[in-house]
Amino acid sequence: MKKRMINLFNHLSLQSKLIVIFLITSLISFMATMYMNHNVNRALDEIDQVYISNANLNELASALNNLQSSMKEYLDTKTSMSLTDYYQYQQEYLEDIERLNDKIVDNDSEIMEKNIREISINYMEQTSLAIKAKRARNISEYNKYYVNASQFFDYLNAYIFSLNNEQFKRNSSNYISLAVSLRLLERVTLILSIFVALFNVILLILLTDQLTKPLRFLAETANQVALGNFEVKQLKIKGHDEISVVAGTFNKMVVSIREYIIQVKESMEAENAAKERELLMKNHLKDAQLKYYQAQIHPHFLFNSLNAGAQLAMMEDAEKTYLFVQKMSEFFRSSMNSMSTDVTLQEELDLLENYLYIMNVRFAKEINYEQKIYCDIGNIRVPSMILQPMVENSIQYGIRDIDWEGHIYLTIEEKELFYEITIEDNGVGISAEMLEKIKNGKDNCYSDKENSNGIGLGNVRERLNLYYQKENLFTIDSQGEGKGVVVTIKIPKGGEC
Amino acid sequence: MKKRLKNRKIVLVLSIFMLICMGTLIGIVFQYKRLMKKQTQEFNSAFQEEYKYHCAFISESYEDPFWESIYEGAKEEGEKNNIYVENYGKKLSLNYTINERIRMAIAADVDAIILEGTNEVSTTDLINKAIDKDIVVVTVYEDQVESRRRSFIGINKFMMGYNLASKAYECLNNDKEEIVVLYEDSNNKNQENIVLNSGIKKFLNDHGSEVKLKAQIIDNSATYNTEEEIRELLRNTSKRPRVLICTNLIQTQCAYQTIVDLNCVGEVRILGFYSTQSILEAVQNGVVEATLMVDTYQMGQKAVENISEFLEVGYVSDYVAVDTSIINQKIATKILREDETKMTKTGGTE
Repeated sequence: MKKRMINLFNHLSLQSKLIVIFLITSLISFMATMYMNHNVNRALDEIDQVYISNANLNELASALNNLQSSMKEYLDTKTSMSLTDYYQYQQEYLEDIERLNDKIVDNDSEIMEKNIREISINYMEQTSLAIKAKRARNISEYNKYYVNASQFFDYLNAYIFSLNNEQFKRNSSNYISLAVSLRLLERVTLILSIFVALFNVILLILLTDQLTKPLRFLAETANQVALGNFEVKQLKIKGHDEISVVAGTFNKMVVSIREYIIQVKESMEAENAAKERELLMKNHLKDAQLKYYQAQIHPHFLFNSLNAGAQLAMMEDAEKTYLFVQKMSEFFRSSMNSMSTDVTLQEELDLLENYLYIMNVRFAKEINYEQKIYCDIGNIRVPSMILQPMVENSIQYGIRDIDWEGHIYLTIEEKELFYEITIEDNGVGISAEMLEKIKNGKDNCYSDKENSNGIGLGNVRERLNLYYQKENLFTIDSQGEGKGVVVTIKIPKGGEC
Repeated sequence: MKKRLKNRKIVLVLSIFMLICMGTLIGIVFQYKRLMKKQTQEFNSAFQEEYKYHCAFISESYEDPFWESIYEGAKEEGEKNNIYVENYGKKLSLNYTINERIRMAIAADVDAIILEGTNEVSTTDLINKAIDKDIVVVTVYEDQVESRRRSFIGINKFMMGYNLASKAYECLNNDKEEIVVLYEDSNNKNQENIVLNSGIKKFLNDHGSEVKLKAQIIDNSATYNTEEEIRELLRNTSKRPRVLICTNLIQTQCAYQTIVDLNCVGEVRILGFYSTQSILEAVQNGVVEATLMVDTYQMGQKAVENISEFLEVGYVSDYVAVDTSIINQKIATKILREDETKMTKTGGTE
């Protein structure tokens, strides 16, 4: 029942709730006032009734005197007027004594009333007989009855007087008691008023507390949100008032903000990951650079020395030597310059050409290199040093120690989504077992040999992945030992200048 | 949260105040209700108990402990027998004679009357008139011999005289000493006095005593006559009797006060009548030699018993005697001690 009432209250609008609270407190005050008013009225009524018994007895005494007088008058004068009066007063007196007690009870006043009543009946009987005897002109009889009636009249007067005194004493005592009770009632009224006022205040506090509780929670939660804590509990919505509507909206707002923050966080995380990847790539490059530096003793010194050598060869008209030294110098310059950045695919091919020229000089034109480009490569940018290490590998491990004529083919084709660079040789090939190891990145035989510039397949593969943020851009394949190796590099489209 | 705690504190303080108010309120309301209940009880007491019969108790005096005791006995017995016994005329502002009160009681159509006989013809007539109106009339202590009263509850005056004489005889040193018996001077007492005197004489004769017995009639028609006459009797040292026998309560009280005043305690031995607190104390102190105790309570009880019996069966014993006994110093001391013990026990609650 209580729960039902609370539910009912919760479902009211704010205005209705305030009206209900006002009505409840007003009703309580009204009821208390009515109760006090009722008590005061009752006490006043009782005070009014205090001396009513004295008034009644005075009325009775008056009626008795009238009856006696009218009887005496009739006996004296025998006028019809006095007889009429007699009957009228007799009736009045009879009505008065009818109100008196006729029961035998242990109470002085009540028993006196009973005595008055009984004596009165006998008195009226005597007066009636006297009147009757008078009408019958029986002088001795009516005289006798008159004497008897007068005697009873005296007794009745004495009784009424005494009873009046008794009643007065008792009524005075009652009056004092009533006065005391009225004073008590006054105190009751005062304390009841205080009590009701306190009760109303408590009720108001409790009900308004109930009313403002969601508002307070809302304020507290809003404060938390303002301080940056979006992991706040959802506000409980119990009713359908305006505060509940605001609370509901607030809940939705908090959820929306939380979602928005998650989105921002995710995008920031993605950005950070990108930056991290870039840093990682740079690290890889630096790693490659470092290895390169380790492999080349003082490359700048060498590069400068080569330039000096080229100039010397030219001065001595040794054109071939000049060209060789010049190519070497360009190769080193290109490789030095492009280590840290990405380059165009054409620059990468130029670098490769210089390298092959040097290799051909070294190995007396034993390396047959063919290059087929089926698309426009002018705008394609690639990470630097991705082709030279492949060709170097083909020379070093593929065709260097073979008995037959070694060939290296480089093909660049445009596919739907990417450019495909294929470097193929007809060298010693790779066994299936070794190929598996290379694919899994477990074998680094193609990277760290003395004659290599130190940039292995793994390095190229990683840099490609990091640069394009895609997997499987680098594949190596071989049909088996003696059947050559095919390396395929996929350059995704969209990286053009 | 802070506000909520603050609210709770306010509610707590207000609740405490409210509880205090409630306590005070309950206290006052309780007091008020008690007052109103008392008033209502007083007001409605008439409706608490209703009796079947109404009996008028008419005695010579309203204040005399002797008659008060008889009335108490009658009233309490009446409660058992569904008879309300009214001390008739007590609440009236004027003092009415026994006869007037009998007339009033007849006019008030009471069911029964208990009265002390007066031996006056008018009283006899009134009793007979009441009997004619089917009112049961029972006389107590003094009979109305000529009337048609239904029953008489009294004491055996002959035995009373005999017992008093025996006690008086103990007090005498020799046969030359005098015993004075105080009699009430009223018409209705003559016959009783003669019976009492016979009892005294019988004892003296039985014991062959030639002691001088003197009857002193005390005229109690005027209010202070008894005291004056006793004082007159005892003032003259040469006429002072050795033993003074009192035959009613007033005489006893006056006599012992007089011998104290005249400083003749021990010289005059008083034999009293009835046993009020003051008389018992006088007996204990030796001022009064002994007193005759009449069971007045029983007298009242028997009167109502007889009325009840008559109302039920239509006839009743003509005469019922009540117990009497002589209270000497030893018995008086015992009675007073018992009364004191009773008072101590009930004193805490009264």
